[in-house]
Amino acid sequence: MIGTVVAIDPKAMTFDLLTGVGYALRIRRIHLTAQTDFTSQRAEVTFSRLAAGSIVRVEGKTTGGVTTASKTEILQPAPGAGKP
Amino acid sequence: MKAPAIALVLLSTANAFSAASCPPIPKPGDPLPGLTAAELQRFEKGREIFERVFTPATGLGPLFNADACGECHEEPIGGGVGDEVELHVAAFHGDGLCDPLANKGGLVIQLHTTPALQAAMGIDQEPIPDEAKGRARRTTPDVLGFGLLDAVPDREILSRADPDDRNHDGISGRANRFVDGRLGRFGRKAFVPNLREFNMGAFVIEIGITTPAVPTEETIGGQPIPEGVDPVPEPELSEEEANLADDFVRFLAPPVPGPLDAEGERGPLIFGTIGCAACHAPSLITGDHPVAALRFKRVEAYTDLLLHDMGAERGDICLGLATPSEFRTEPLMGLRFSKSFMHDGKAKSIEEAIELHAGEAAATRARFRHLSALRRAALLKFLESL
Repeated sequence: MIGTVVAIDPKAMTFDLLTGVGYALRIRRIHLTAQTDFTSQRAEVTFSRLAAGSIVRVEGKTTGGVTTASKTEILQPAPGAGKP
Repeated sequence: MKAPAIALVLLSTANAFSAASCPPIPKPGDPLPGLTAAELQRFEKGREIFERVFTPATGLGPLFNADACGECHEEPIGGGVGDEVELHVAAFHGDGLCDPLANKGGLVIQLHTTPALQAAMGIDQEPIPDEAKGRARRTTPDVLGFGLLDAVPDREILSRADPDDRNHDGISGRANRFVDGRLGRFGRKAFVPNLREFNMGAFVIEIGITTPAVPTEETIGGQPIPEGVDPVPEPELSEEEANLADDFVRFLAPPVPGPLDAEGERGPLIFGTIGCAACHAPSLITGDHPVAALRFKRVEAYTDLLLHDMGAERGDICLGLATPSEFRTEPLMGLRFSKSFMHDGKAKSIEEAIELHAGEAAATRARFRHLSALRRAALLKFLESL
């Protein structure tokens, strides 16, 4: 799934992703593990690169309503990310 | 605004309404000319879904704004305008990010509940979240010709964008983006990328009808629906029925402008010379499309499908990249069906709507104010014909 990161909880190793169809918008909580691959522009990055406003693609599986990411790719950094 | 790079001359023969055999001019609510027999059949079957009145026993709600697509899109025919006004909410955070309050029941606040939800929670509409710093009234537009707008390639829209106003004409034009980064074009903030997603989203947010594309109901201010309130299993509409309704909307012909007298015929020129056409681009060209009736057609929609700043006084909510004061140029095709104007219905006449244009449109509004009575009348006659 692809969406916009709206909140990050580094301690809980989760982030909230805004997805949706038309105006039917949904927030999905994504759980990360030590095995989750983080990439940006095909390079490996760390979880700390994630920021609210980033557009990311998440691959993983949902079990019992809990979505756990195996891969998270930052497709577009948050507006203003990297600027002084 | 940048001049479109496409050589329109090469495509001029592709006008949606010109053909060697001179087919009959579509009336409002008619299908696009040139649909195949199979497409026409889907259009007619889709109309039944569009007009179907849902009840709690068939999936309505538990939160809803209307019990049928055709309850709102009803004048002068199914797919037309309506007098319903709904409420959208969002919060514009200091970090420049827009929060559509999806975890608090936004973006759309439903204004009705089923008897079962009312009995369970004692509410007769969805609660408005405290965080909703921005609130917006949204009128019901017509959707005639929207299949053609859907078929306009992204590059055609982006060719007109000039976000930094590099040509210094005072008109920028900015693209909005959906939550996944795709170019948006539907909705008053140009947020939704395509017609299908707009329609599938509308089933659940407007009627409370789930589909395979959106198999979950809206929350109630972010809280789950109480057990037993909505017993119809998801999805409440089958894939085929949802697709038929989508095809009905997609295949609706754009409204053909009414006839103009000699005075009104001067209107389009005045529309261009005072600057209206800088945003309300008279026509767009569709791209390649699996449906021949939508392929390489000119649609005289009078929109560029881009965001423009309308001035702080008009501002309401942010959405995607759109700031509170930025709105998509409203298509003017079908304008004659409207009884109120602007995104919030605040204007009760076309003239009043022009007066409410500010921001990027301020210079054009000033030129409108300086028109002679004759030229002003000609412009209004033209607009009233669309």
